[in-house]
Amino acid sequence: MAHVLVVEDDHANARLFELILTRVGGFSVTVTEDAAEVMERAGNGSVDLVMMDVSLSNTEYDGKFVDGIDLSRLLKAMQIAKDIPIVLTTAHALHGDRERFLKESGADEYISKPIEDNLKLVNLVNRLVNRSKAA
Amino acid sequence: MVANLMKSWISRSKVSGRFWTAGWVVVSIILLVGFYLRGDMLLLILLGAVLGAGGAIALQHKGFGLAAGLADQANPPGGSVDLPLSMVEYIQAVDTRLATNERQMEMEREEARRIAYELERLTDTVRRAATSDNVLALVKDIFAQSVDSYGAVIAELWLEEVWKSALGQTVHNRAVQLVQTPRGKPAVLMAAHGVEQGELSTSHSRGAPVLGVIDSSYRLTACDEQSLGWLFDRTWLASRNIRSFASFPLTIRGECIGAFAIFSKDILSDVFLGVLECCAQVLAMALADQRSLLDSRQITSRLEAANARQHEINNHLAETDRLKSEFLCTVSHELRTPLNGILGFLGLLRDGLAKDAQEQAEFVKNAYSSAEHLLTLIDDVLSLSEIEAGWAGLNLDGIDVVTSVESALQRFQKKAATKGLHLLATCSANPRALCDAARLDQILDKLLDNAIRFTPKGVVEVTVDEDGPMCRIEVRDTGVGIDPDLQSNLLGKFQQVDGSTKRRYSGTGLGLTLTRSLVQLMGGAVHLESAGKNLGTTVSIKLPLTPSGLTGLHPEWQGEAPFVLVLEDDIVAGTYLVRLLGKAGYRTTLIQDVEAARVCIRDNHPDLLCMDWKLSEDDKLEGTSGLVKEIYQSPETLPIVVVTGHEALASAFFEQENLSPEPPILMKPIDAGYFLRVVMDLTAPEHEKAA
Repeated sequence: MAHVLVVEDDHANARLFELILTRVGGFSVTVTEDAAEVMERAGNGSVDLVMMDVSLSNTEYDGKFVDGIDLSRLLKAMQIAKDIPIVLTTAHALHGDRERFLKESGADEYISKPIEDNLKLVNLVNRLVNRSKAA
Repeated sequence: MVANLMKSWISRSKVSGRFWTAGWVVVSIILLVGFYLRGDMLLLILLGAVLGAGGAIALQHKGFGLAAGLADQANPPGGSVDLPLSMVEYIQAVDTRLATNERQMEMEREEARRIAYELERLTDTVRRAATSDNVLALVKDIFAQSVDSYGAVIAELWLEEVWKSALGQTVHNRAVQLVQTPRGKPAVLMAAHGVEQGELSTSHSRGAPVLGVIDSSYRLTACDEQSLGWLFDRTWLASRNIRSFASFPLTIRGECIGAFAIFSKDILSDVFLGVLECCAQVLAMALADQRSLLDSRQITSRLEAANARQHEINNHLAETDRLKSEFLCTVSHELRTPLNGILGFLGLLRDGLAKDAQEQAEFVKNAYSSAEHLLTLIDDVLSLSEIEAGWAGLNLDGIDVVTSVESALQRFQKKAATKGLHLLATCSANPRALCDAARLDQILDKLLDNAIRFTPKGVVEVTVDEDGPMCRIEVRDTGVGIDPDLQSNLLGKFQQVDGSTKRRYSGTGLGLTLTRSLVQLMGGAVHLESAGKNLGTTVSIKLPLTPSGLTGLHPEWQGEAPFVLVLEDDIVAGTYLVRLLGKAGYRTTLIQDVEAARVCIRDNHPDLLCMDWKLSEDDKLEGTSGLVKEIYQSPETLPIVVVTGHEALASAFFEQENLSPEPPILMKPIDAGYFLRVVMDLTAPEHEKAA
């Protein structure tokens, strides 16, 4: 059973992702907005995929405020975590946002909020987890 | 008989005595010989004798003529010298005559040299005037020349007041005096040599008569004692050793702009008067050049200012554009976030993913609160758009502010308690504001919501008091505060302190913008203050108090109410004025640009123009000053009241343009009661106004 780390600052949204991923996808889920916890979990090999919110209002790392883009970059720079697939989840869904965010963060995929199809999200997670495990 | 005839002829020909006697002897001998011979020979001999006598007389006459010629040479023609009788005397006379001629020629040569020198100096002056733009130096040169060459004791340059700027400053600060010229224009003594300030008031109180006596062209010369004495006080002239005076006009294209005058200890000759007149003309030309140079500089600096302004506008437009994109981005994000909650939880319910009834209730509650949040956002965006489009409804009434504040506090009590904040109100007055109750609630909600959102711990306090004609409501918190650098931006549209994805606080950034628009819509003002980051924030708003007996119409108005044209490009401020006037019973129309106002004045004949004043600050009202001038020149009376944030600019304009009477100028935010009194006064029936 794949383990998904949900990084999300909005409680309602976090709860929603948790429900979709567990009930629809049958994954196990951890929700956090704490940068240190993200680093630790990704570093100890317990995470198969990260769902990363772009706008983070309360997340600090190394004394600085960081957003989902910064966190993704940090993870991709870690030798041990660089192969963990990252899906950006964001309500920033204007033209060009998808390309810009993927390029800046080094993340693997991008999903805009609101989530229109729960199954599609689950399929995406499965595909990315399987691909990374095959590699 | 013949001898007698001869004698009389000879005497007539003024022959001298000796020759007379000799002639007589010859004639007598011939007569004696003739009588002796008798016969045919007698007549022949007689004829010969007569011819001989005539020849002798002719010879004697020739010698006389030679002597007379010599005498002529010793006696020079036209001279008073007596005919010298001796040769020595004669030569002496010739010498004296030659020496006198020599002296005269030398004097004439000297005079010619001086004139040549003066002309050369004049040429120099002209050259300097043509090559240098330093008029002051030129004036000093000409003064020095006047002193050196023409014995000037006093030299003066007078300029009509409008030409003062061309010289830039006075050469002698001590010697500045203003006189009325014959044409009524004031002239200023711009430069003087040899005059002290004290002297001006006494001797040159005669300076004024001097320019008064001089004809309208300023030209006057007085090079003899009599006319000088007639112009000036003889004692003063004697004390300064002045023997002549000359004043020359400075003319530019036929217009006289002042005078150059000198008082000299010499008698000025015609030639030097001519040179001085030339100097005056050179000076006039130099002044004209200087002025056109100054004018062109002014035009250049105006152009530069216009360019800078254009640049500023461009920057502003670029900044507005950037803020708009940022806003679109933010609004899109903020709308999608609650939608995610709504759709997501409803989707889970639809798909039967709730485990039990309790979870079902939780999903519904989550979806519902997200929908509520979305509604607030949509309300904010719509309210702002409505206000900016000028469609905002505004029901002005006397509102009990304290009651409104207390009920707002009740609405937020629970939210504050959840964060552990103290929420309290201190009311030191019980004001009635002239505003819209629903809009005031909206404002208080925004302010309290913001204060609670941005305050992690501590106190949110609301105070109510009165400040002059305004009611003041302050919301003070102990929250995150605002960096001083960012404070000025914050009331701008769609601004949150941090526009990036790392913002610590959610919200559209519309709260304060909406608050400001709402407050302005009700004729008030917002002020935001924070000592700095983490030092809390105070937002204070001022709203006009309700004027006692809110009726603007004069009791004697019968029939149709007066018609007020409101010219205001800011739709929010304009809406307020229109609503306020409407509340007081006036008919109104709101017009946002000058050209439309001009048409309305022409076609609808308003009873009053209530106008904003911005001058070049805003393109839409660029022509306000022009419109005002037209109104003052028009034979029809249209009273004006100016309501502006640029009180000083407006006031300075009316003073500069000399437009009177100056209209009432009210500073924004206005005192509603005073404004309505002014409007009532200006629209009162004619007989009331006169009283």
